[in-house]
Amino acid sequence: MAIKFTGIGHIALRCKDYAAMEKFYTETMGFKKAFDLIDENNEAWITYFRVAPGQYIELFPGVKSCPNDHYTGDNAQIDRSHFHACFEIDDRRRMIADLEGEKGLPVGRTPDDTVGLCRSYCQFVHDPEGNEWELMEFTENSLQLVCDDEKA
Amino acid sequence: MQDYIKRITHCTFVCRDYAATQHFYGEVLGLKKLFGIDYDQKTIDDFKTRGYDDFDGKVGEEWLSYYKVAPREFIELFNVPYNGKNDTQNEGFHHVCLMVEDVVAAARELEGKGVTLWRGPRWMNNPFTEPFDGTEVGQCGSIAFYIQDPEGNEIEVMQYTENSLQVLNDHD
Repeated sequence: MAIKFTGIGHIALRCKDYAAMEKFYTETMGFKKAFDLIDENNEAWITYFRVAPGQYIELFPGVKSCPNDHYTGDNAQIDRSHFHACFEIDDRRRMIADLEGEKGLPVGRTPDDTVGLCRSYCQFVHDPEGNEWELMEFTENSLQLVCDDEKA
Repeated sequence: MQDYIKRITHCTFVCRDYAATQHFYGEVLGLKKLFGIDYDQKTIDDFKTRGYDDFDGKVGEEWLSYYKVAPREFIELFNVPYNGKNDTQNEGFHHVCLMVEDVVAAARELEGKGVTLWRGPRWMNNPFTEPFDGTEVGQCGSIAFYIQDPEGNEIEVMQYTENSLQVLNDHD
C-alpha cells in the first residue's frame, strides 16, 4: 500500500539569533505565533508560526537541554544539502512592493520579470541566518500544475 | 499573515547522489515524480559561478526533479553536489515534516522496506526497535517518527490527532 501523504507539515530551523529570526518570520513575513513547546527547564524548545492551515515554520531557539538544536557553523548554502524552501504566492508585484518596498528586504528576481524553466515566476529572499526562501507564483503553464492530474 | 503567501509549496535538496536520493523519494517514500528539467547553459553557468567545486552539469542532463507530496506541495531535488559534508547537526535547517493520513500504515510500509524509524533525529540515537505502533504521542499532541534520506537530511513523518496543538491553534 502506498503511503498517503497529505502535505508539508512544517520546515524546522535552528536559530543563532532567535530574536532576529522571530522578528523576521512574524514582522517581515507576517506569520502569527501559534504556540510553543516548553522543555523540562521551562524554556521554549520549539516555537510555531502558522503559514497555512496545518502548516508551520518551526523555530528552535536553542535550549540547553537539546545541544543539537542550536548550531555554530556558518550555514553556507553551498556546503549543505538543504538548498531552500519555497512559499507559493499569488501576486509577485504586491509581494515585492511589501517586502522590498515597505520592509527593505532585498528580493532576488529576474531583471525582465520572466518565468523560469518551470514556467513559474521565481523570486528569492533570505532570513537573518542566511536560509533562502523562494517565493513562487504559478502560471497556467507552470509544470508544477500542468504535470499534476490532481488539482488543488 | 501577508495574504499573498498561500502555503509552503516545496522544500529543495541538492544531492551528492542524485540517483539514490531520487530512488528514496520516488520508490521508498513512493512520491510520484511529476517532471524533470534538463540543464541549459545559463543554469550551468550559474552554478559554476556560485562555486560548486564538484559540479559537472551538462546541457541535456537532468538538472532537477519534482516529487509530489500533495497538490501544490513538493520535494524538489537538484542534481548538484554540495561542497561540504551536509553537517545536519550544525546548520540552520533542522528537518522537514511530511504529513500522512495514517502514520502507523506509513511505518508498516517503510519498515517493510527495511527503513529504520527513529523517535527523533538520528543524532538522538533513539530508534524504534519494535514495530512502530503510534502509541507514543509527542508534546505537541501529534504522532510522528523520523527517517533520513540518503544525503542525511532529517524527515519527520507525522499524523495530527484531535489533540494536536497544530490543529487546536490553527486559526487566523
